[in-house]
Amino acid sequence: MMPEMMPEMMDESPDDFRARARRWLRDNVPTEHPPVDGPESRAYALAWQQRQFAGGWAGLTWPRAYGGRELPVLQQIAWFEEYARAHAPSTHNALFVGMNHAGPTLIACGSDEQKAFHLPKIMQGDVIWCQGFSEPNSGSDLASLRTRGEVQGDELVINGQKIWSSYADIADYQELLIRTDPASSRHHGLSWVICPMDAPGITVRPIKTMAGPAKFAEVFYDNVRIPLANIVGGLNNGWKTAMATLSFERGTASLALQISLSQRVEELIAACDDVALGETLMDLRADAAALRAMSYQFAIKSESGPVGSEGSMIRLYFAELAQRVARVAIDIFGIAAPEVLAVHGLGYDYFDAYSETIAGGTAEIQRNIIAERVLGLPRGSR
Amino acid sequence: MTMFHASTEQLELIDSFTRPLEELFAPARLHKSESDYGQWVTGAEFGWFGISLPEAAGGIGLGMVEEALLFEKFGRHLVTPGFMAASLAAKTAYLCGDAALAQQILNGELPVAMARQGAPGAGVTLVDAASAKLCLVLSPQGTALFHADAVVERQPLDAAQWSIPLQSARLAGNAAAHAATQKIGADVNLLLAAQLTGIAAATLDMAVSYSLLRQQFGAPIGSFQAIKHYCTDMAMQVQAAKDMLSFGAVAVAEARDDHRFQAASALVVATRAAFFNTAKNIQIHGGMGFSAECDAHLYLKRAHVLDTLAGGLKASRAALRRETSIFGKDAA
Ligand SMILES: Cc1cc2nc3c(=O)[nH]c(=O)nc-3n(C[C@H](O)[C@H](O)[C@H](O)COP(=O)(O)OP(=O)(O)OC[C@H]3O[C@@H](n4cnc5c(N)ncnc54)[C@H](O)[C@@H]3O)c2cc1C
Repeated sequence: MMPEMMPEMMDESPDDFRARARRWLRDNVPTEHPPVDGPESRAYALAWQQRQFAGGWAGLTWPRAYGGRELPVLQQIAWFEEYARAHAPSTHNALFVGMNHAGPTLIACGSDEQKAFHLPKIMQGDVIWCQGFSEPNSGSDLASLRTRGEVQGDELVINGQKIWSSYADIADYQELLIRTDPASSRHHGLSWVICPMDAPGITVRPIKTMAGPAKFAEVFYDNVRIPLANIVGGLNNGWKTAMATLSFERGTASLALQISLSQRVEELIAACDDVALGETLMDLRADAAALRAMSYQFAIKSESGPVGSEGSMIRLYFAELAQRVARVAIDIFGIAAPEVLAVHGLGYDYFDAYSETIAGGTAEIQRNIIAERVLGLPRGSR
Repeated sequence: MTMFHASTEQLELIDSFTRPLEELFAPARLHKSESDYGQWVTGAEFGWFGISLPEAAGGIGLGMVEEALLFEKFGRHLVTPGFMAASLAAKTAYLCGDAALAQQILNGELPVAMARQGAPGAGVTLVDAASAKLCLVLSPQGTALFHADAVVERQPLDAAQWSIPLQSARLAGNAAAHAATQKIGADVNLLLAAQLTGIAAATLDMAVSYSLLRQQFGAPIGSFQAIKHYCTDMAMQVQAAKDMLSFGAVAVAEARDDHRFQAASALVVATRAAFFNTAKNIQIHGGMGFSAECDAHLYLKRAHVLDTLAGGLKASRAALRRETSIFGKDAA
């Protein structure tokens, strides 16, 4: 299915693109708030994705061959800017994994069959993806993971446990990282597999976050059988695929959120009449402007190839700035204000922001990576 | 195509344009002599004062992006703020229709010093002004160019303390400006931000090199996590300041609606980056960092001088508050 807009797009100017995005968002952004978790949040996220796809706004940078628009990242940013200004639903929803790292990983490492089957489904809002990397004893030290997959004929038989898997309770597929060579250690002998979440032997136990909703989950695998054809990037070559996933997770994944931070700061400035907070707010304002400038630079650079660990710097800058912004909102309004207590209100945002420096690799791990890969400092003891 | 950041060509051009800095403006020179006025004519000959003025006016005919990149290099080399004074003075004269005065500044005939005045009638702080013939006064009212004689009651301050000659002084009551403008506030912010960004970048490089070199406990100190994380924080400050500067300079060059907001943001980000990095650089150098022989303190002190010329971080934040972002209320 081709989205409606194709002909008019061909030689549209950036300004026209923006204007069209603004008009469409004005007419289409849902007025009802997103449900916080569970099946309702799934239905809402999928419906909103379907609407964006039908409007021609999904998969802006994805390959044409799989229904994407293959536009430059700068155009994607223009869309996100209008998206933020229109107060469209946060991209930090159940679609996040599929759109921002599972999809991109498949584009980078998947087979033609895998891409042809999965990419359109993700883009069209048919499916939800989740990520199964972390385990109870393997967090920052991901390469120590122990969930195993035994090759039996043309299948893998999987046993073990994952944890903190966001949206696992409402997902159709999981990017699952497992040890497929029993004799291997560390980052050797791993495989990245597409795990259908309805496969027999999978048990999901949702876990509530400190912000309230049950947003992530434990996942148990008891003799789960998955075809070898579901391996992405080759048997025992999963570390490489996982690094691609993390490069997206730490690179482009937060682009929309980075951009929307400027919007949030402006709203706080407009709401705040406490002179004592003026200087703090101006620092946040300037830093959000710098984050936007960095996002543009990242987008420009990524046109000529993968950007690498520099992405970690922007991701971390964003994470810490998002926490400062969320915190000052509580100072401005106080803990008892309706704006703070509301569902998806400032209190929720504040608590949720604590995850920014944990999920996707902690701030400390990011700092180690930046020091070693960007600045060239020596690896030290861990 | 719409531009958002400095292009590779612009970066390369400025690299070659500033090659003489390595030899002529090694930061260590400031241990011997705090003033750069000995190099005034050199600066003029290289065309460094008029990079963004049209060729017909005696300039180089490039734009604000190149000028910002040039001053980032000046910041790295702790070049006297007098060069910024010259560039802004020539621009002020040019915008006020005094082409002859602009030309004399560009030729190097009339050295310029920079001063900051907090409010009308208040005293001024003059930087590196001993041989200056003109004085460019920055104030909340804009940019005004005076004859040096108009700055009176000069009290020299201890040059060694801030590693640059400073004077406290007053503008004579009857002093009339040769030229004055309110139109180049964004340019002023960008040039200050550029030098502060250069300082942040130079101290990051210095810190990383030392972290690789200095050994303790049988390993380079850069292998210790505390040092690594300081360096990473410094690198993030540099990336933010550089990208903000480049984005802001393009916004000014392209006269984008929000260019004043972008330039004011660039100053706030760069000032904080410079203060953070110069302090951490001293810490990373240990006892050496605290010694007068080490260059580390030169950067810290210059950051303070530039911040003073900007009117102070408090004022820079207050100025940012007056600007409008595209995400602001009116746009939404
Ligand atoms: C909201 C949220 C969503 C998540 N979603 C998913 C998901 O969908 N899929 C998934 O697989 N995982 C997910 N995670 C898990 C996340 O990736 C891990 O929590 C993270 O990698 C840290 O691992 P850990 O929790 O085991 O902490 P640990 O690794 O035990 O870390 C504990 C503390 O020790 C520090 N530390 C550890 N090693 C070092 C070191 N070498 N140097 C310095 N400090 C160190 C850490 O920085 C941290 O402060 C999610 C987490 C959160 C909070």
